[in-house]
Amino acid sequence: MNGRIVVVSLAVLMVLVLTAWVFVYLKPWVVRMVALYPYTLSATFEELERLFEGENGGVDLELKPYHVREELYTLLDEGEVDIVIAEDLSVMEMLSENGYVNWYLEFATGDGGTAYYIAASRNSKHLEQALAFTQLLLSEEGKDVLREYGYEPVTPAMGFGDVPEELREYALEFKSVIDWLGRRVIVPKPVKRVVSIVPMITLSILMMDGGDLLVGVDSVSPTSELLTKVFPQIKNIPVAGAPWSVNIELILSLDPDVVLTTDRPMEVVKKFEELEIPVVIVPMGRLHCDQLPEAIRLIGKVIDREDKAEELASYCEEKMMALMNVTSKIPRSERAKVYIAISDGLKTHITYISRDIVWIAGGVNVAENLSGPAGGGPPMAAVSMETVLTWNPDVIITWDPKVKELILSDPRWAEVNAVKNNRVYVIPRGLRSWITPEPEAFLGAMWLAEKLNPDAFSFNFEEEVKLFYHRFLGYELSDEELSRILSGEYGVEIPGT
Amino acid sequence: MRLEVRGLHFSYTPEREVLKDISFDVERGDIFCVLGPNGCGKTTLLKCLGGILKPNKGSILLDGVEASTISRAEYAKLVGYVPQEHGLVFPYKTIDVVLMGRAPHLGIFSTPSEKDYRIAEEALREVGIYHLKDRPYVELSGGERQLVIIARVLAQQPEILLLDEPTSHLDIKNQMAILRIVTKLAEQGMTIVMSTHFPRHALLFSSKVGIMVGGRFIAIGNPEEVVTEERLKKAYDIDIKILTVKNPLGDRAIKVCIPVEALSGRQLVGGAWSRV
Amino acid sequence: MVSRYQVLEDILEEIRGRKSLVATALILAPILSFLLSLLVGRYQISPQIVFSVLISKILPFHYDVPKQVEIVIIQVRLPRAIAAALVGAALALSGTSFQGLFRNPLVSSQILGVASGAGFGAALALLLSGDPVIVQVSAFGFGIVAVAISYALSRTYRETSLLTLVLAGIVVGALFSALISLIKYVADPYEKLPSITFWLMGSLSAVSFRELTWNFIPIVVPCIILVLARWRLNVLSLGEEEAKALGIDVERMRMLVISCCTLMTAAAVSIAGMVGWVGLVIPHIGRMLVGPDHKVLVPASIAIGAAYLLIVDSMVRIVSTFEMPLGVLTAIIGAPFFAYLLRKRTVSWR
Repeated sequence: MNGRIVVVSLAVLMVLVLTAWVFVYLKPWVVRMVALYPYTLSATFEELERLFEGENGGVDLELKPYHVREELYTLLDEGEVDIVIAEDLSVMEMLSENGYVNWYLEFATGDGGTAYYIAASRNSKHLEQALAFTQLLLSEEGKDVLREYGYEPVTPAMGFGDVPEELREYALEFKSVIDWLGRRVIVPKPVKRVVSIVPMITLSILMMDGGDLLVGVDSVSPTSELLTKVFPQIKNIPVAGAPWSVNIELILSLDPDVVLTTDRPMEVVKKFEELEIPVVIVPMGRLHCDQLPEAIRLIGKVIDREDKAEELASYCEEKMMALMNVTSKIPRSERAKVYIAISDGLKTHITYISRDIVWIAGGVNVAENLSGPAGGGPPMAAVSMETVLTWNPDVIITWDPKVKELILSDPRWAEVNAVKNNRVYVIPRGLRSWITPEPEAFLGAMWLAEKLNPDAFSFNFEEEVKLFYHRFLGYELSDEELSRILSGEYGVEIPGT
Repeated sequence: MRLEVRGLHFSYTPEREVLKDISFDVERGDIFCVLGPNGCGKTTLLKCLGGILKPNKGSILLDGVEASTISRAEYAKLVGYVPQEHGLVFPYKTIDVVLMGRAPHLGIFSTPSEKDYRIAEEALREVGIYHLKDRPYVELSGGERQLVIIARVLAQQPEILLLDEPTSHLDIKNQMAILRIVTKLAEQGMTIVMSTHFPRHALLFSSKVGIMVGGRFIAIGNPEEVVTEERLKKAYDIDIKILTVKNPLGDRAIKVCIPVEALSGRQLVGGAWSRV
Repeated sequence: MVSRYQVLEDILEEIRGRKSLVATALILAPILSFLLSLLVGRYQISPQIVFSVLISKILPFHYDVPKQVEIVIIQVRLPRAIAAALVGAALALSGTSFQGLFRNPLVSSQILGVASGAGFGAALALLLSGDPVIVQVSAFGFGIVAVAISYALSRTYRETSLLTLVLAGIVVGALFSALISLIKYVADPYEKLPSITFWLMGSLSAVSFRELTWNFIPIVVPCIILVLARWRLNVLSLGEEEAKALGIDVERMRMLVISCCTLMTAAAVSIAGMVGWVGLVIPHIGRMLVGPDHKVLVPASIAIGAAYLLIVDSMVRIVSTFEMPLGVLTAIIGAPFFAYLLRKRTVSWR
């Protein structure tokens, strides 16, 4: 009997003790959170912890410092984490890419320009509290603490990713983009004011329905006759210049969210960086054909037109593949030798695009081994009449109708195969010539493929062009316009006339 | 050939007349010496006579023919001009420089003929520098250069010879060489107008002297009468003594001019008189 | 101590001494380089075929070659070689004449702005039309306009002073250079700008008989006039006053020389683009070989200029598949040579 009482009372006592222990030590009503932060911020975050816990009774914030970023990843994998503080944008990007966080904010900068980021873990079970802590950090109270410890709060904070509703009043949203040269560029999200100083970029933007974002354009685009019909508003957009002659002050006054340009000359890019204008580099002029879709996607990402850009890019890829399926089987020796004639006929185009387009179309560019003047020089090379005669091209495509006329009227060209066999064609010109590195180049490839091997292809080319203009530019080409495009008659207006 | 000048006026700018109402005659075989201080208008007068500058007013008559009616090439056949300074840029040979004197006798599209060569060589012989024929002009001494230019003007075969300070910058031997040639040419019947800084040369070699001050002749005539202490003072604005010395080689007394300063100075500078 | 230059001077003296040798060399040089430039090129043709085709054109016998080979020889190489000879001769002769006229061995055929004017004309035509015919005509026209402006600017009061003429030339040259820059600035960098840049660097690659027929007279007629009047350049080089005293109508003679040089240079530039240094360097080579007397110097300059450009253009054609700009090569060869002349103490002028 006694034994039973002892056992029962012992059990009750144990339960009591256990309960007491649970209450005293485990505090089940207390919310326990974990925050990972760089060791260097210890003092600041201990202060913030006191502040946070004082304001939010029943919340226990556990601070786990880490010394190096590898340690951070281990900690994240080991246990539940609610808040992550990191010292570098690249860390946050890494976390974001690996799905640890959906958003992050830059909240302060320290000595030597170090930027500090905060994010709530995606797996956090205490999201509400994590957001509350973030709010505290971004509030005046939190900023005072940061200042006290020698950090400069970022006001408003810069938000990346899907910043939650609760935090939007504290932060402006941004996104970071890796441009063609691998530079990380931080641009506002969404981008509202875009300046492009490269014609091929301007065209790509228009084709992904980004025309309304343009606040400054290159000096060449407004001179294209067809472009001013397809997109008449271009006439009202201020001309910001070209890469080698930028109107920096005008661009500053346009207050752009981002400037898109090429890297030559690099000094201009440096200038933009100095002025803290986000500048994204897409070197359209020296891209290969198969790089063009990627460049289009990049531009789409920058101007928040990813879907349209994807549509355009995959259109280009599809067309390229369709042509390649047929033409890649043609051996080099059987390919038609193609010469591109510009200016007085003895200048030829030497961009990668002009080489690739001819190859994709099933020919081979006779000038494929020519290198032009290096260092951003003109994309043309001069050749002598004798060189052309030695090449003896089977097909000549000329830049405009005048060159064709010139070649046909000059006795020196008379014995060239292309002239003898009446295979001198004017390359079509839409928004720009169809052999410049912009999406229309793929129309150019189709056009040329049909000229080189009329039997091998069965697409309705004219419909294809109309469809392209309808789909990507929302413009219905008339038959007359189409025939002008195909005959290469669309001129370039001269600035100022 | 007789040279007459009547009422000549010249100005570079309308404000300042450089030559004012110049009139004189020079007969065939005369040596007319124009004396005067720097900037008095001697060179301008010679340039007007040489047809290089066009007078604003007045006339120049060659044997009674108005100079402005003669074409430039014809004029150059009659009047030869030896400038004070001549800068040659290219290292022409001496004979080539002398040949250029044949320019007025050659058409625009012709080059010098054998005959022109002979005339040029003759001119070189006449001034006694035939041996310098093939030497580059720029390598010659000042005296030799002056002789080359005189040879050139001889090759031009003019009837009137204008010399602008032909003896300046030359040593005494070369001065004499030049003056000897000038005298000889006058004896051969050439009409000579020569400007000079040296009153001594005017007294010794000229048949007629004009003293020019401020663009105007203050006296023209026989050297003996014209060159007086009073006029020289007026011209050069210093006191000058004219001394008459016995010619050790002849009967005629000769006159020399010496600045009074040089005479009254503590040291009588031996060569002073040769400078004036 | 005998300097390197002295040694060279001695050699030159030796050469000058053998007048007949120099004369023979000067006659042979342009002929040989003309033949050479007919033989070289990207298109492989053996010398026998080249000569046979050429002779068959002159003498009445038939020589059977593929049409294309004949085109290369007759339509491509022949006009190009003639153009090189004409342009070289024209630039060298106008350089020589201008150096005599301006009494300054450092001036060249471009001193009055003809090249800048022609460059502007070409750039403008390339921007607005691109038609090679219009480009040539415009280059020629603006070259003459530039000189006319220089001349008009310098005509103050009663006569033209050489100094103001040179200054006016510099002003006009600078103005047209600025206008060229302006055109390059507004030109489409992917289509128009390269053509303009190529043109300005000079090339003979596009020359055909058509260009030659238009430019033959503006080059050859002034050339003949200057050759006939060459001795007068000696007299002109004495300076205005002495020339006047020697019976020369300086004003008219200057007009004649300037007009001839301008016509020649404008035509040369409109064929070949900007080809620098020929007009500056060739007269000096001429003076080193035959002395300063224009009576011999003028024909010598023509011969050397023609031979020089023929050789340089032959190099342009064989060096690489793409055409090296002619103006670049003449400058690469001409500039160091001129630097050498400047360093040499015993230069041919004082």
